[in-house]
Amino acid sequence: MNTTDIIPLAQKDRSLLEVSVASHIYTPIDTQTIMRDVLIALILPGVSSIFFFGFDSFLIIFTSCLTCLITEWGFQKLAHKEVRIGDFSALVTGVLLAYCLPSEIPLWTIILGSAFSIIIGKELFGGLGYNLFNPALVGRAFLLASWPAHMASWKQPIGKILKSSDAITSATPLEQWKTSNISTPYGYLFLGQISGCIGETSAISLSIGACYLFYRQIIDWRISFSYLGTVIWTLDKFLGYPIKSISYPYTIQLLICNDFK
Amino acid sequence: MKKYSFKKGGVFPKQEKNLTAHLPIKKAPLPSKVILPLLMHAGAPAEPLVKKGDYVKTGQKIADTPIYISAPVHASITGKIVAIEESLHPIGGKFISFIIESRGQEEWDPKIAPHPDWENFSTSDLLNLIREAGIVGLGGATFPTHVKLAPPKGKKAEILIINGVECEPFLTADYRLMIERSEKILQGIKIFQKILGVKSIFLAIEDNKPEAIHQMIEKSKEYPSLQIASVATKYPQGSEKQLIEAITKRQVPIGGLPIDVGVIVQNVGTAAAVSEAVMEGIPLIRRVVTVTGHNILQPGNYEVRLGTLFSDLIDLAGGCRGKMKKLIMGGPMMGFAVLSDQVPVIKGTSGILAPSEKEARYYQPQPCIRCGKCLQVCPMRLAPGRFIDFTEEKELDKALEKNILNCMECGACTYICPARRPMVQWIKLAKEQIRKNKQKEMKIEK
Repeated sequence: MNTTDIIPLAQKDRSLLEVSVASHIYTPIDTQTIMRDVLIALILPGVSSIFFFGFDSFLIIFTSCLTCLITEWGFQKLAHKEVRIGDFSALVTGVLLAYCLPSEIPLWTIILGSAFSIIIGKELFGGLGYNLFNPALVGRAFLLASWPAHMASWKQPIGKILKSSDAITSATPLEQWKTSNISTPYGYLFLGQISGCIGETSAISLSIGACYLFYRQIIDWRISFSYLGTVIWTLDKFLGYPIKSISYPYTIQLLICNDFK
Repeated sequence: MKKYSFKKGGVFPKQEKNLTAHLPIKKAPLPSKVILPLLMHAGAPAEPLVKKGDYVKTGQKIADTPIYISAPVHASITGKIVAIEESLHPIGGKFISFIIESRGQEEWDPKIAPHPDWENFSTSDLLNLIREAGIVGLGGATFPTHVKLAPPKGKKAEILIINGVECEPFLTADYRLMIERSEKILQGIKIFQKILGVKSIFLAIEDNKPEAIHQMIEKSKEYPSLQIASVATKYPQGSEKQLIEAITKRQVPIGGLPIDVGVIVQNVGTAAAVSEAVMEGIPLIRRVVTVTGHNILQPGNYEVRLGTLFSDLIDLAGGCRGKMKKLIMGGPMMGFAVLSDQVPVIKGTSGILAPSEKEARYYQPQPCIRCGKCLQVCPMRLAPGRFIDFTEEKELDKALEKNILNCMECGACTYICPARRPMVQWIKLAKEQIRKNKQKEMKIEK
């Protein structure tokens, strides 16, 4: 309907009101709030990554986030789309990608990976909501395929809560078990004092973040737990890692092990 | 006390009832002018029985029709019919309406006769009384009450549910009725019981209205077949199908009516109106309206004559705090945004809601992020997000397959959507197109 159709209905001195279809009230939770909550949940893993892997972690996160934001802004400008970096979704991609990179990775690969995440993983499919895959993981897959050596350049954690043991080497826990049959104790796995990608070593800080998202009802706990349950069940029934197994690695250790995630 | 609730879905919007819940129903002064559309109910419009220039008395029947699913219209004030012309209708567009100007002195129609001896009446006499009084469901759907009270052949009502849930935020008209006019409501329920011959009756009230529950329990002590049911505060608890599920655990089949599971639901306001019509002979010419919202200076509950302009009621409530951007007839979840404040109160106007400028702001719809919240909250177990895709892609047959017609447009999905996608708008559009396609098909077949 164009505006000329509406005007004759107007009463003398009174202006017409706005109309819309119900409902007329909304929940305060919008897309931006959801993304913000995800970012809040990711703060603690970020802090622990900086604690364990030092200033390198901060540089990785910063580079990745900045590249994601710039790429999304640039792509949307070039494609004459509405610029939506204000909804924080590019920031979430940036943080997630950074968290699954090793601390030794050169910064230029991060720039390429983040740009790939946003352009190929997200915007080419139609942007927010239309992406087939998680853009951050698309970026990680790209980096892993392109520079496998950089993506496996593990470093021993710098920060220490527990005292160093022989178990802590520059290999990740499952690699250690595979190559030299050394098991990593629970404490190290839980706190994240192990080598691995910066944001995924600390099971405890990730769990706290998850609890925050459960509490805010951003994610449904049933989805997460049925996923974990499926993993335990499959390991138990089909892959030869019974829950009551007496040899390393135990199922629980596997679950909190970073390179298993 | 046992707490009833429907199971799947539902949302918890801010109640905002404290704006008007404590305020007694005030009688609004007689309006100097009323606009009475010929269609104030679900069904066929009535046809005028009087001409332009005629003088009419309060309560006089001025429009009627022989069509079954319809209801007559009565003059709500004494005065002269200055015009019978198209006028703005609150539900949208224009509709033929009587415009009556007051003559000052109120004179009631001499035909109005009370029937305190109604218990000796036959069912059809009672139904006729209700029809002649123009009574329709006052909860908002405005389905003619005499039709609803006469189950089709072969079906029998076993349970009567009186709906005092009032799950829409802001509205308190039914709440005040239950507190102040509980006798009238009980009287109306007794008339319903006589007509339907049901043994068990439930009066459902949301548990955020403890005073109303208390009041109705006190008053209904000598009425053993009536049971007061406290239902959980969750939107849309007061929706017919959800309420039936909550109380009887029965599910109305797809495309079916409550009577298919032996249940009839009536609103508390309807019960009070039926009592007035039968006991006092007064047809439906007035109703209780909650005038509220953060833009209204002195919100309140008013008993107003039908046809009173929204602007008169807003003036009565002290006027607006700020700029009037939007005005809603009904509650915020299912109400209709009206085009102008020069529209009349009709039979289904349970409230007038004036949101503040900030509350009425327009949200630009964002892309769907597949969070699935609309699926979680849909009380009809539908997939509202998918309906948008189907409508956009013009795949109406797929939408039909997924039972889009079962959507009752409660607005829970629109309320919860973090991307602010206007789900109900798309669903309404799809339904409208489906209806048009069907009409086309029927024409071709003929």
